[in-house]
Amino acid sequence: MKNKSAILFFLITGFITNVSAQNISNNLNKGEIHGSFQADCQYYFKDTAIGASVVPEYFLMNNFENFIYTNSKFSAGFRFESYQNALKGFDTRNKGIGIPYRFASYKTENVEITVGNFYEQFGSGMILRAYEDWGLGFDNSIYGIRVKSELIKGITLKGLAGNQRLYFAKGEGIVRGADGEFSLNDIFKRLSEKKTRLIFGGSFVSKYQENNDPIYYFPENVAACAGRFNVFSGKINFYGEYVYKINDPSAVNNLIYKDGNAVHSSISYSQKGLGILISAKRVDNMDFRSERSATGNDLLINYLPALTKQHIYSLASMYPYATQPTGEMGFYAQVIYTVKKNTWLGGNYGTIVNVNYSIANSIDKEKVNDTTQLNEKGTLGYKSGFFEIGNEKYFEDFNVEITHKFSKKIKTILFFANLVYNKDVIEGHSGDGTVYANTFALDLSYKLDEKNNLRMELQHLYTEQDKGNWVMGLLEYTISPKWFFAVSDGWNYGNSDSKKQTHYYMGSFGFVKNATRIAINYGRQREGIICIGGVCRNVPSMNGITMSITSNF
Amino acid sequence: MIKNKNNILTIIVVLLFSISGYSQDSTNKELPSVNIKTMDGKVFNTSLIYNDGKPIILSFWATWCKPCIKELTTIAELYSDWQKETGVKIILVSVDDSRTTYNVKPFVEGNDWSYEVFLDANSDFKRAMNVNLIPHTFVLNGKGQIVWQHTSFTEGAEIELINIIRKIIKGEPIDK
Amino acid sequence: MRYKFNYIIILFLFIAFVSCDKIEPPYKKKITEQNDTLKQRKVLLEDFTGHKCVNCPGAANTIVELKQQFSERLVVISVHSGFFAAPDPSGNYTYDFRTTTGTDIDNFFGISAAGVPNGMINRKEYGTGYFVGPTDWGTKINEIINEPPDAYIEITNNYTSTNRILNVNVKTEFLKSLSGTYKLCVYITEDSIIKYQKNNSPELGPVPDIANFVHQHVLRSTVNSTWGDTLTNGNALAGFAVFKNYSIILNNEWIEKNCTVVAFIYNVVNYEIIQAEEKKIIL
Repeated sequence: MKNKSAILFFLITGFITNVSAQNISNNLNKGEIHGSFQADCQYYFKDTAIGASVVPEYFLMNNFENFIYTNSKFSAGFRFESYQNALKGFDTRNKGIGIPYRFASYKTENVEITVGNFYEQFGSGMILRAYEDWGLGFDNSIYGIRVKSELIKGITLKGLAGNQRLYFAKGEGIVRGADGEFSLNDIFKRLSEKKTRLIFGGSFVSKYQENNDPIYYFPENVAACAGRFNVFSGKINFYGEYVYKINDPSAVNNLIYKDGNAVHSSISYSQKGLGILISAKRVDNMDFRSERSATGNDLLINYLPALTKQHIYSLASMYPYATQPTGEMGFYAQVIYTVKKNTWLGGNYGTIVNVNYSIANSIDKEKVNDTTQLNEKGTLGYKSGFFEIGNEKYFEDFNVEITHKFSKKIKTILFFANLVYNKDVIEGHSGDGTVYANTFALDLSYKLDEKNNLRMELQHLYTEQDKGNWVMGLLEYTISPKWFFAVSDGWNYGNSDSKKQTHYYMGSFGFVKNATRIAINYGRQREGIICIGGVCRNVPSMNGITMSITSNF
Repeated sequence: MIKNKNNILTIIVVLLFSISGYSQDSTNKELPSVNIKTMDGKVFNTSLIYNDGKPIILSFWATWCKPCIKELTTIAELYSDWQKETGVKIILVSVDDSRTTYNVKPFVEGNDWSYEVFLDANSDFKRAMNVNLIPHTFVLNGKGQIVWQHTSFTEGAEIELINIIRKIIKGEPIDK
Repeated sequence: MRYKFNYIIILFLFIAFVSCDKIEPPYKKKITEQNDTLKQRKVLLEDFTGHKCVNCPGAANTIVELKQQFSERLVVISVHSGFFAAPDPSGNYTYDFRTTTGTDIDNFFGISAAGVPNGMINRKEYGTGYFVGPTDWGTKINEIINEPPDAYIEITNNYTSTNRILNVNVKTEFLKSLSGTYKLCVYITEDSIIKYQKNNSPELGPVPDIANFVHQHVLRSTVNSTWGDTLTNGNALAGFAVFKNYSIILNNEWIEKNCTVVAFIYNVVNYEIIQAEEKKIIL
């Protein structure tokens, strides 16, 4: 069924392109087709030491091919996806072959109309964001129609309606939305030369899902609205956005009828060699999906990013944070400073210092009345004053990163992070408590000659909770621009269970030619959570061979 | 059974589509037209990327991408020499989403970089350019056509990059 | 011409703006009277759960609400399976609720792999799979429960307490002509098993552990087999009846007055259940 409609769609688009090509023969030469593909394959071994179970298929593969055809104002494309079967850690509803993404679009200088699947973001995405992330197996594209226009300079309007993608099917709920953005300096001529720039924006989004529930009166239409503004004044940038949603009982909020809201604002100061950013956000019952019963990463309409640093070093990224959409207060500050070269601290090549602090807490929740429990199903749930911070800490992170180049050959990065990770809340189960961890990393890079480079990483994680201490070492050798080789070992020597003090060894090599990259690695992968933005994926431990090929044309 | 039939049909359609695509010259492609933003919020259309007839390096990156930062810090030291020699302009496209997009400007300034930077917060331009992984670098000739591209970064890859630019200036063919 | 597009956007804006339902309390509907007849459709809800799953008491509470609404017309089996049902070697969660039958069903339909609590309604397949989240159980049951029944099941239990032997007589009758292969499964469930359960809903008990949680509808065993016995594999006319006899010795641990025999008929092509029935061992 899904394939049939896809084929029909392409016959129609193909027909349209042919007709237009016949009419305007000049355009025929302008038509271009481009695309990209990626295949990720894994072969699994049984490994009882790390609890890696045997996979009945032995070999699994995720793969996509993307095609985009453009012919002056017209473009169309599709993505062919295949999961034979989905890799461990990816949702098993990604099964088989299909074309879950296809579109046709017509664009003039100031109007664009798209039918089929599309990705979109209103403001910072707190009210609506449709996007995809192949590495996470995430895709909530909207299948419908979208119109964008900028008929008056400085005023961008967007309107859309459609259903969201749910693996190879689509969600039941209909999403409708409109957004306007007004750049005052472009609209009013007398402001156009002003150094201070002002941008305002507003959006409405509403979802519809039929209610047949025998027990509850559920709202069939749930609307949300958002307002935002941006000020750019030389070195200072300010951004603020507020979003409000009416009653939306759902599986995620335990069917409470409370309204939701969220606010996010950030201010930054930047000049040559110094950058400062301070952000704050508050989220209160703002999980927004096009189906009431959806959970996990399914059918999300909005995007609530985590206000924390995304760590690069593997031991520091062992405890990643994800926004708690039912209630959270977060704060983030970052300073980046370049110490000038030829100074005592800066040395001959300068030193870059990056200091970052972030914290996320619960919000204060009060009972609606004496007879109702907190967050009780089928009630208003709770009351919360706007700036009331709760006393449960979800996450805290203080980290420093110093990059220094000693000579033309030697470069080092020194990294330290102090993390507080509320495992119960973030991972959604109970009894594990909070993890306090300190991580150190030393990253040393040595240039042998113009093309050959050797890099070493040493990391140590210290904690008394969870799995205890870890140490990790990595050695990487690259021959630019085509080859790379690496070996690494992570050792959980501090595990209180001596049987689980295992080594996670890994060997990898890769080849890159222009836009084509092939990487193969063999070894053990520890169980963990991979998060990008506010979306996370749980990866089970595995032992095996992974091969990844990516290219474009 | 019915499912298989559909799959075969799909593959045929895919093949037909590809063949019709390859009937034209797939090199020297133009940049697609996508709206991205400058660091001070102005809407900018990517089809307007131009450098007075000189080559351009277009690089997709993000503040959380370590090899990207390695590449950009390495090139930052060489950039003024490259500019004097060839007139090349480096344009960065940040694919940071709203989690980190407000960090891009302080990050660029804090690192003391002098690149021209654009924001592609929902990866629209990235998708239109068929970029799967970052860092991904494109080289555009004086007419704004894509003549070369490379994914990932290893120390020393910057030498290959400037050699490509030198070839463009001299009008020599580029080995793909 | 160009301005037409702006009208479209304004239309979208208008739709989004006006489409909004504010619900005022009470949020809960009144229980509607059911007209019980002898031969009516009964729906099977299989609840996949685990004693270490904090959200599972919430799903158990949904079952209570649904039973209030649908009473006898809803048959429930709670299948303890997967990661959250696995017992700990020591501590409060050492009891093993799992059964071979439950694990087989779970693995076959891939339910607990998609997370618990989750359920199946008559083993019907929806869009991306067989599982239905607790929030949707009521809706999905409502969609099918008023359809006229395809078959009728009658269970007669005969239990001898001295030797703990249970004889089960199942009469099945097709109420309309059906073609294809249909099978009958007979399972045993037990109510009121008091054990530890993890919890995160304060209205349902202490957080994070309920020491004396009452586990209901717990799948204990199958009487015939996981996938059942064939009733017909051809064309069965309306009125076609089959009688099946089974006997089983009850496990010593099971309390007979809390045990129920559950029977259901399904189509082997799509696994969809066309009728279900239950009966207590001791009335």
